[in-house]
Amino acid sequence: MTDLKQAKINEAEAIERAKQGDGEAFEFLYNLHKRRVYSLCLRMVSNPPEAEDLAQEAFLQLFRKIGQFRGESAFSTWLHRMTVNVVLMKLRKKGLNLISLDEPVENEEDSQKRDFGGEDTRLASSIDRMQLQSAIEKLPPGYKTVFVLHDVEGFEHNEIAGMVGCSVGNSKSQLHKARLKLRELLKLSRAEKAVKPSGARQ
Amino acid sequence: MNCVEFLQTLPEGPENHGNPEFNHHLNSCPACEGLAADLDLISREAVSLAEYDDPPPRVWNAIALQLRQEGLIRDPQQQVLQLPAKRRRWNPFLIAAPLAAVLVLAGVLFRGDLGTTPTRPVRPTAAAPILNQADQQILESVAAQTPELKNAYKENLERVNVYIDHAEVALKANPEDQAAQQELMDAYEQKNMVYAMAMDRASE
Ligand SMILES: [Zn+2]
Repeated sequence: MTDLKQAKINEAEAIERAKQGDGEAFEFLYNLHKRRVYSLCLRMVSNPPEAEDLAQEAFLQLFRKIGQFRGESAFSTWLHRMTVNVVLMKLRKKGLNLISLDEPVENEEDSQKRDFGGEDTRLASSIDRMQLQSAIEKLPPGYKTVFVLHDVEGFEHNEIAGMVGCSVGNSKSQLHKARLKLRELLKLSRAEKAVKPSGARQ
Repeated sequence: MNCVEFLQTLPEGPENHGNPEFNHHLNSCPACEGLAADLDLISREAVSLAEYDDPPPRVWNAIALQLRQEGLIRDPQQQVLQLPAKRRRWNPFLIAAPLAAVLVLAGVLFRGDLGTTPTRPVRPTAAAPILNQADQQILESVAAQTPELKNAYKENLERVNVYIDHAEVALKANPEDQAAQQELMDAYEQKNMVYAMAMDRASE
């Protein structure tokens, strides 16, 4: 029962054994991909219990089809896409706009003011992950979807356009706006941190 | 290219790198250079979030349970498993008696302590029901293989027995209450999981 834990087995072997109904092979595959899948779900819905359900659903959908799977290299891509589909389906069911198509057009002056910000415009040379994570949570759903799919998950704009159902241009523009919004939120959180140094309690 | 044109071109991303006008403005305007550098930094840092979070153990537990119920996991020792379908029509007489008999042979992988399952906290009470014969049997087989785990399993079984007792009392009080019906189903399911984990231990 423990050979999967003891011996170093690769993903392809685990897939073949999972096809035979081997529980440890399923667990091995789950452990190999759980962080990626769960993190994706969590970034997209910003709600841990919901993300758990979605991750569970994505793995189940994949495992149910494992008998049809051929070849090792595409397994993570397959799982990854399935996870995105499960999450997008959920967001659609909740009635959330995956893309904001009708955003107000801002005039160039406003846009420039916002984009450059005030005096102290640059972020630090690195960003705290927790702060980035909480800034992503605050993004409007449309921005968040494209940002997570592109910058966190590494999908191309044409893939995102296909998955979300928008144009490539739309995906690019949502991504840009998401990054601008994140920059604003990160600067804000940096400013708040400067006012309230860590450890200061009332 | 001026700043406004630069900002309009920026969303094009890497494609801009082949644009001499874009590059010229980028290298000569500190404000635009700063903005582009920040956006680039955000984008690069975002990659680190791709595998940032670890799902709690209950996610795998639930997946394993479902895979077994659907027959996708077929461990040799556990092929006799016939769990009641999770959402099928409720009939306590159809489930309770056969379940008790099947439990000894049944198994569902469960890695984790029931006490740490936050959705359904189960606390042992002073009057914890004694373990039945099947419980004792499964404990003995765990002890034979991994004696140091016997107490943990014993505790889990006691907890889940308390959980079943509470659920039965609640259902008796409100036999038509669907939540109470589900609660009892869940309680039995949890006991199945403890058994399954014990079976896995015993067969390792
Ligand atoms: Zn400029």
